[in-house]
Amino acid sequence: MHEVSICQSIMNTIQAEFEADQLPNIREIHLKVGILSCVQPQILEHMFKYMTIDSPFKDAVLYTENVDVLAECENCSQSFKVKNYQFICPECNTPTSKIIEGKELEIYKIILEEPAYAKVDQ
Amino acid sequence: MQKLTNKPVGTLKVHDVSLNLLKANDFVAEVIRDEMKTKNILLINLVSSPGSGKTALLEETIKILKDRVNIAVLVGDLETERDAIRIRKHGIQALQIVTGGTCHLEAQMIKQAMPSIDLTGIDILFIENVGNLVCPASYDLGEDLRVTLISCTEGDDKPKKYPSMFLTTDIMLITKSDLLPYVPFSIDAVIKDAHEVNSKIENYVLSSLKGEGMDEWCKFLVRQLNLKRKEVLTDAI
Repeated sequence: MHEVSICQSIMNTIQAEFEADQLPNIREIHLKVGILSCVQPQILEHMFKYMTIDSPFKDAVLYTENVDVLAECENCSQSFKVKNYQFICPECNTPTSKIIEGKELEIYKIILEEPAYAKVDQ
Repeated sequence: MQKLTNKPVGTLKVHDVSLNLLKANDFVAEVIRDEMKTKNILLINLVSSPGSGKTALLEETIKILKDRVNIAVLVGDLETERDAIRIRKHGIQALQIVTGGTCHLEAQMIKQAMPSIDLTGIDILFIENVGNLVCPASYDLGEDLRVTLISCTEGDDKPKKYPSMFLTTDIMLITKSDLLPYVPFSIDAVIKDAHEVNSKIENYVLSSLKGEGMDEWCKFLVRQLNLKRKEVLTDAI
């Protein structure tokens, strides 16, 4: 059920950022989904389609991009990809809680279509 | 005669943005955090799978601390008021938040519930989250401490299965310790896994039913309460 809340947040967040008359012109919404956000991107994309049927977002498509977990060692400052949820530096074996990437739930790109006005030929 | 040329082309304009979807929640969480600081209240978010013993832990904690510490409870469930009724029997304020299907509590729900509870003189406010080790992990409720319960009947492999929760956990409580002799549960294994995810997690082993470990847990709560008061005092100077 978590994905429903997230879909609602996507709509609320964009509504706060754009003018109401711009909303129906949104064609693409691109979202970064960190592995640690506990959100399943495919379910989210699918759910967005259905939740927006009767909304100004009906012509918008949600695209998601997975973000792996990247941490930084608090001792040697080495950044490393976290595998198997071991937040331990592979270089110096120090545990770390510094997460650089992987928690994202962030809209990073929105594509709007600006309507071409119908021209009248003589 | 006029001829209309409706060209199906518009201009596609790309907007590079950076909109955090949890921004609204985090904003409300900060408001709650500030309010708790002003009112000098320690806010604790209890999370776990369903049936790990959150309500039982609260009932026993209340029995031990009732005369010394003023406690109030906000409890979230999908349906029913059963948990709040259980807690009210111990003579303390408990407010049920019925989420109506939502799998977690959000900061806004806590904010809305606050005026319905009398916080005058309250020392510790517990939030008993919806039983779920997944979704509540993402929602900051403005708490001072996030306490995660694992009952030994659930198995010792939880921290690696639900890493997001353990990444944001301050205290891990291993509950139902009276059942340890009967189930294949290794305390060492669960602590090792939890520390691989988050090396800062502190842990306690206890049984709400038999009372084992409850004193240490209650002493810990009182220590945290004193720490928070000192912090508030220091900030005020």
